Amino acid sequence: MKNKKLYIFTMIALVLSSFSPLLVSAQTTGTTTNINTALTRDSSGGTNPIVKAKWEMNNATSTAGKYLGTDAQTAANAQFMPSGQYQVGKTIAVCAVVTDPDGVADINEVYGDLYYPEDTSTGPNHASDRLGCGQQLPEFTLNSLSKTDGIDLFCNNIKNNNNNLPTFNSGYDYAEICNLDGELWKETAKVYCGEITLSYEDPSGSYNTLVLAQDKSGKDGRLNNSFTYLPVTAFETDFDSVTYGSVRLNTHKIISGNLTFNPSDEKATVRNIGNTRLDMRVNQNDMGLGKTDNIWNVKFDGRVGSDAAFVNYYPESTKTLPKTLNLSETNEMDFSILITKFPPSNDSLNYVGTMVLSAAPATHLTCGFPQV
Amino acid sequence: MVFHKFSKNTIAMLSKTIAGGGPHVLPQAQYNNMKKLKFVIISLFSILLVVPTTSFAIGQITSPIIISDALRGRSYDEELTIINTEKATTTINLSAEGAIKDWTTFFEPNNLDIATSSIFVPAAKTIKMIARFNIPESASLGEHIGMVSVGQSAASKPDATESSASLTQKIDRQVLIKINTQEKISYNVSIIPENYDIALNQNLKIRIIYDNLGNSDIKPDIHLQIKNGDNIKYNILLPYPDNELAVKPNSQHEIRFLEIPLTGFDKGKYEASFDFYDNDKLTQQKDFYFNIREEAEIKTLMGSLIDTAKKQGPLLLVGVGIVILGVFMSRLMIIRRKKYQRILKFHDIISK
Repeated sequence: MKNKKLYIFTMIALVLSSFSPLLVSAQTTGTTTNINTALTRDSSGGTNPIVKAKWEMNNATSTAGKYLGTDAQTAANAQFMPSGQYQVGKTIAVCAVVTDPDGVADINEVYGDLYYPEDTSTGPNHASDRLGCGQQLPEFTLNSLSKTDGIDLFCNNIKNNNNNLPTFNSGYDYAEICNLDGELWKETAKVYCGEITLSYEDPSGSYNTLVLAQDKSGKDGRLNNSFTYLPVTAFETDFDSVTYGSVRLNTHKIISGNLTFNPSDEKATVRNIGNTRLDMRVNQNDMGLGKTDNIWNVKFDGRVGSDAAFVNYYPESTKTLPKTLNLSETNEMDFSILITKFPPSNDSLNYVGTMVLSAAPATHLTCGFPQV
Repeated sequence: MVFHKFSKNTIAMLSKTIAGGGPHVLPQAQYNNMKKLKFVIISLFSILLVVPTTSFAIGQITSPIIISDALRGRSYDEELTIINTEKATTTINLSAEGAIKDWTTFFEPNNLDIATSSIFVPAAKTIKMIARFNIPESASLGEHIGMVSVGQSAASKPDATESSASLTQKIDRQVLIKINTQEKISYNVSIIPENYDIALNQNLKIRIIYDNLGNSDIKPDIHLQIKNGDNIKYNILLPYPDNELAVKPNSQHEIRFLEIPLTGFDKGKYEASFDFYDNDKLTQQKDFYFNIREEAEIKTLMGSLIDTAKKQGPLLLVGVGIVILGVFMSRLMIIRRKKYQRILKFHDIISK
């Protein structure tokens, strides 16, 4: 009996002692236990894969579902237009010609990495809650196209119709890749493509992209370039007229907007649907109220956002309203009217005119400074 | 607005139903009428939820237009990209302001002869227009600043019974033109051979696209050499074709393709090298390699792609055939098993 107890005690002691290194290395913080882990990357053997060429393009396809290899402009590398529509993103395809001296079967995965432009902040209203400032967008995987589709895309559509689209790795060009001795024909290289969607409100600018091919030994090949997300200035209003209604002489009448984008609430709201920040400008005609002693009989005010100061303006002059609309910002527009004289030449009860609301691009917010 | 089409009685019934009395208490005709009313109300709500509310929007690419070193008496074309974010076709008006106002005219890209100041843009479409800046001979040297704008006016007019202002929306794009007196030659050229593998005694076809980045028209001449190692096999000077328009600043132009006869060339690897001259001054150099092969060899190499597709076709057919055969066999086995079970059952009955 005594021997049995001793045996059990010995066994428990042995089990506990086998866990002791873990217990020693564990650092306990409150109720959370952090355990240090480590590994050594084994990249021995084999040769690095090679990304021979890479490019970005629209994800537009033919009726047969094959990529067309287009972008928005004829300049070298890719340029893309944002949708200019509220909450409508822009999907692009990132592609690469990848080979591996150890055979394409040795290629484990090919990844695409995109980075926001350096020193451009998305600002406080960016709905996707991304910061910009060189931040990486979610990494995505590129999948191989069939031999026919790969050759057709790169050696036909792109070579013939969008020749300056790709970036080539040192020592490679169309001739090397597309001739009949080339690796695409021999199937020792493949075209890989993957897609990612940019938000309509992601800032305009130059986006660095990297294609990373990793083989089964963990060795990788990389090629990077950049594309341009073209600056589109666009805004949307939920009103197409401003009703001043009944206005009394020498009485300042304010027409308040609101923050709710709703065309049926008759309150003026504006939102930025482009990928630049923008300054709103306003110009209004005299609505037939005319001048007295060469001074306008009517004066207006306008502002964007209730915390901004009103800016007053006379007919026919364009004024920039002080609050810059950030990326994807929705804000109210307030207007006011002050009539100093109803001209005797116009005995109409109602005065009708036109207002021009214009927008001009403003510089992006930079990184490292408090955001406006 | 819809309710007037229904009798007061029907509405009363509906109220009663909502209040707790079920449709089972209604006569059949009124119950049917109620169902119609319900259907109309649900449909209206659905439409309100599905159809987006009206808004008013416009957009354009606004990277500043900068024409450096513009020359007097020349014209410079720039592309405008306009987005109609509306859900209906809209008329976009084009205008210019500032120092460049009187120098600016607008064109559709496929009609560069007739100026226009407005364009229809289909719903949710992007269109391109050309802004042409004609620099007068009298323009002063230095910077001239202005803007080109795209605008649209509200389709609906405001209520005339109240004092109001109808809205026009505009997007402004900055223009900066610097006038200089010196010509600047700068361009890119793309050389696109039809194939990198040419059959013996066939012609080499090459497309050439110029992209003029300078401030004056260009008409480059080409000096083409085809070499096999150090051995020059073909050497020709090709003047800019007389029947081709000059390449204007800020524009691309593809000349008629070159066709080089390779009669008498042996099999092998060749280099085609191009020197581009503008007024006898070397301005660009390009080259590429190509192979001359037996036609049969090209067919064999090309055939690997066709063969793959051809192989895949029959393979697919065989695959489909196997599946169909498998399904057929399994059905047959089930039928035979059932038949066998029925025979066994019959034998059981007989034996009993």
